[in-house]
This record gives sequence, C-alpha cells and structure tokens, in this order.
Amino acid sequence: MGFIIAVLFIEIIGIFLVTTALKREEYTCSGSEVVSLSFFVGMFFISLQTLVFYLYDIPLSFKNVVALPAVMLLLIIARYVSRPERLKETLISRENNAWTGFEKCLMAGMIFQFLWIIFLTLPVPIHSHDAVANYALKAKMLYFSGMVPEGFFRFGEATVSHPDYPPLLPFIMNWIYTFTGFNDVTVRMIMPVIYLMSSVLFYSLLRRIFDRKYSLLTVFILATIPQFYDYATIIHTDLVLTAFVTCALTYFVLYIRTGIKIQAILSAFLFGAALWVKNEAVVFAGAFVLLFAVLILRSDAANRRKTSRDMVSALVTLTVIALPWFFVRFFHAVLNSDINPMNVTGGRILQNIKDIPVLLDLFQQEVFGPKKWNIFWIIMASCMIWKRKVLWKNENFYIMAFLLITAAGYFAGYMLTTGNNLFFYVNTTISRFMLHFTGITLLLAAFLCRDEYRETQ
Amino acid sequence: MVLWLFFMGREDKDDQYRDLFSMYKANYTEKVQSLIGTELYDFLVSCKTSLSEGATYNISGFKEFSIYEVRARYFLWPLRSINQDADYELRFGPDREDIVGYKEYKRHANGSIYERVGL
Repeated sequence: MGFIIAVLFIEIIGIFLVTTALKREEYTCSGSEVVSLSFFVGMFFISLQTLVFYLYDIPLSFKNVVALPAVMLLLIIARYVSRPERLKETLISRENNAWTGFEKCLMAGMIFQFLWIIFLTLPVPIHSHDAVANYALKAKMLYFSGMVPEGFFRFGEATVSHPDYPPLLPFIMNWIYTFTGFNDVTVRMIMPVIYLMSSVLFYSLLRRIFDRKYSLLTVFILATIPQFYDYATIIHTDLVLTAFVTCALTYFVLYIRTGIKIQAILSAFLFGAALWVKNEAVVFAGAFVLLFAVLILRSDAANRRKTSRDMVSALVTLTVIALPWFFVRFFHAVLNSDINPMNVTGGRILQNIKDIPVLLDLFQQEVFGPKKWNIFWIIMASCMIWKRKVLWKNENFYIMAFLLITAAGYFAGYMLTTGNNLFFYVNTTISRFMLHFTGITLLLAAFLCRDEYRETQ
Repeated sequence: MVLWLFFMGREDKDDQYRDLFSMYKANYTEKVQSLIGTELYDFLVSCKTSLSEGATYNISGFKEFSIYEVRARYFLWPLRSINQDADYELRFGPDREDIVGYKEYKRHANGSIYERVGL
C-alpha cells in the first residue's frame, strides 16, 4: 500500500507540473501521454527536492518530503475536481475505433509480458551486483541517515561504489522507503512501473505519428526484447536512461515534424533529466544540442529565426534541469574512477586502440545473440540495409545522425577508459550500453518501414 | 513476427524458476539467507549485534569482486566499510590470524572480529 501511495504521489506531482506547463503552451495530448510523462516529471521533481534538501541540510522526514507534493495535490483538487471539464482543455479526443484481433493480440502480449516481469520481480530482495553495491546501498544510507549525509557524494569506494554517480534512482528508492519503511523487496517494483510508463509514453508519442496498429507493433517489439524486460526486473539505471533518451528523441523528432515549441522543450527536459540518471546521458544531451544546431542550419530562411528561438528555450531548459546536479557533481563529489583525465596518456589510448578487435568481437556476440536481444539487431540492421536509400531522408536523417554521434561518443568513452583494461570494461558494459540505443534504433526502423506498412493496409 | 515469437521462449537457466518459487514461499530472513548463504548471514548478524552503531570496519575473506562482499557491505550498513584504520577487521571464514594493531574481539563459527588496539 505504501508503495502504491509513493507512486501515486510521483504521479500527482507530475500531473500538476505537466498540466500547468501544457495549459500555458495550449498543447493538448492524450491521457496516456499525460500520465506517463507525469511519472517521469514527478521522478525528476523528487530527485531535485532531495538534492535541494541536501544543499540546505534539511532532513528527509516524511513531513518534509511530502509537504510540497501535498500542496500540489490540493491545487489539483482545486483545479480539476470542482470543474472536471478543464481536463478537456489539455486532453486530445481521438476516434475510438474498435480494436482489431491483431491489436488485441499485441496488447494481450504486452500485458502478459508486464505480468511476467512482476512475477519475476515480486518476491526477491535486491541482489544483483551493481544494484546492491551502488543504488541500494545509497538508498539504505539515505533512509537510515534520515537525510543526505555529509560527504554522501565523496565516500570512498570501500564504503559505496561510485559515489559520484547521478542520484535519481537512489533518491527515488529513498522516496519509496519514506512510505513503505525500509523494504528492499517492495522497492524493486519501481522498475516494472518504469518499464510500463516508458512503454506507454513511447506509444503515446508514436501515436502522434503512426496509426494505432503500427504504434502498438513498435512498442510490442521494444517491450518484448529480453534485455529490455530483464532490466525491468533489477534495480539498474540502464532501463531508466533508455526510457528517458528514447522518449526525449521522439519528442525532438515530433518537434522537427511540427515545429511546436513545447515538444522541443519536453525533449530538452527529458535529456536534462537523463543527466540525473546516468553519466552516459552527457553523450545523448550533447548529440541533441548538436542536432538542434544542424536543424537550424538545414531549415529554410523563413523558419530559421523561430527554430533558433526554440533552440535557445530548449538549451535554457536543459541547463536549468541539469544545473543543480552538475553543481553538486563538480563541487561536492569525487572524480569518476573509470575515466580519469590524469591517467589518459598516449600509451594507454594506443593500448585501447589495439584492443578494438576485442570490442568488435563482443559487439558481434551481442548482435547475433538471441538470448538477450532476440533477433532485434538483425532486424534493425536488415531494415537499414533494405532502406538504405531513405536512410538519410527527412526525420531519418536526424535519428540516424543521433545514433552515429552517440555511438561514436560511447566508442570514444571506451577508448578513454583508464581504470582497467578494455576487455574488462566492454565485457561488463556492452550489453547494457546497447540497451540505451534500442528505443532510438527502433524509432528509426519504424520510420523506415512505415511506407511498406501503409501499402499493406 | 513468427521468428520474433519463436525466440521469445526462455530456458530455465540454473534452475532460476525453482529458486523463484522458493522465494515466494520464504520469509524475509530466509530470502536474505538464500541470497548470501547461511554461514555468511550468521556471521554478519553476529557482527551487527556485536559492533556499536556507526563503527567502521574492513571485511575480507572473499574473492576479488565477490558479490558476497558487496552484499555483506549492504547488509551491515549503518556500520561503515572503509579501507584503512577501521575500528574493526572482520574476517569471514574459519582461518584465524594475527593482524598488526588489532586484537581478537569475538570469535564466531564462520569468522572472527578483530578490534583495533586502543579503541
């Protein structure tokens, strides 16, 4: 019960902030988009609030942490319960055609998949290596300290792994403990919720572009990739980052198609919030900024000024969202142990370059390994080869460029690793890192294959 | 689509489903015991009850990068693991040894606790 209340509060915070912003921008969206987007906005707010409490030495007591969300709840009640018709100002009403047998099968498959994830998650305490060493231990520290303890981001590695890592997930876990008490079995259920919300948000965004059947099919593929749903059963940030960057890029693609400013801002918000999830988000946020600049250069003279103004708004959003964490990261946290600039020498880089065949070998094992990926990467590669003539056309250009830039960023990251040998890093991270690219690649494939789909209809 | 569905089936790797069902039946203590092993669990409980809150320790007796060491650190919090000059040295395993600057504080069937001299 405590867990459900904790999640509901995340939703309430998000709904308050999202509906306020959308109403201001006169932007309408589906109920599913409001609910799922609100969840991610709410998670970010909880993290921000926890960090502010840290900066001002405020205890994370129940009274303190629910004070502001409770005010938001009252405002929502005041805004919508007395006049529910106000909701219509924000929500899109779509035609509700009867579902076909195929659509029902896809939906049933996804519901079954979700229930299966819950079945796998429900009875087991936190146990996987990184989950325990990093996120769960931090959340336990927060809960038993009753606040973010002094030096929390500077503890030695003997105390907690990677004290400098972005704090969103441990902060959210501590938020749940505030309602459930310390319970490292129940807290794992946040991952299936994140899986569900990311699938729903991705679907809602796809629905703005494709019809229901095609959107459902696309989300079905994502939701049933073994690696994707496996990471919904353990406390790890990789699924969370995948959710943030996939939806952020989809909002950006929507913006490219429509020119609606709030879509660029939502994209910037999600990229900024991703920086609170995992350090690797820097690569995605950087690629977003770069591609926005390219969009300005490629837009015609009539649109260039508006696109430039929108980019400034997006950059401001990204900076404001990322700033509190980066402030703490630079002034209160230890250096990252895996990429230490002091140890990046020519000899070390040369050694990493010599080990590139190791990287490629492990990469091909992932691509052709059905255990983790089903035939996902084979399908994606086939799509790109088959549709190579339109690979760089329209919005495909931006998704493709985004993929290449971010993949190059990850590759450069591998080449700059210094703490251990390249095999160690690639072997322990490549399957997780490839997860970050699944949603984006699938989005590209959805665009590439839509003409064929249309012809079959 | 057919191929996709074909590859969706998952084998029961290392009896994971049997373990999962046993987790459904177990209480919390049994779950933790099953994850970290009864011997380590008993030793850690002994450490937790013997050491004063907020004390620092260094634990050993595991292989490098052992998940059990990580789980032990997690289990023992708010006791804090540090590398050097810890208040206590915790040795998991039956071997006894002399540690410079530490004296034996408590002996357990599955390990020993050493206290820093002058603590």
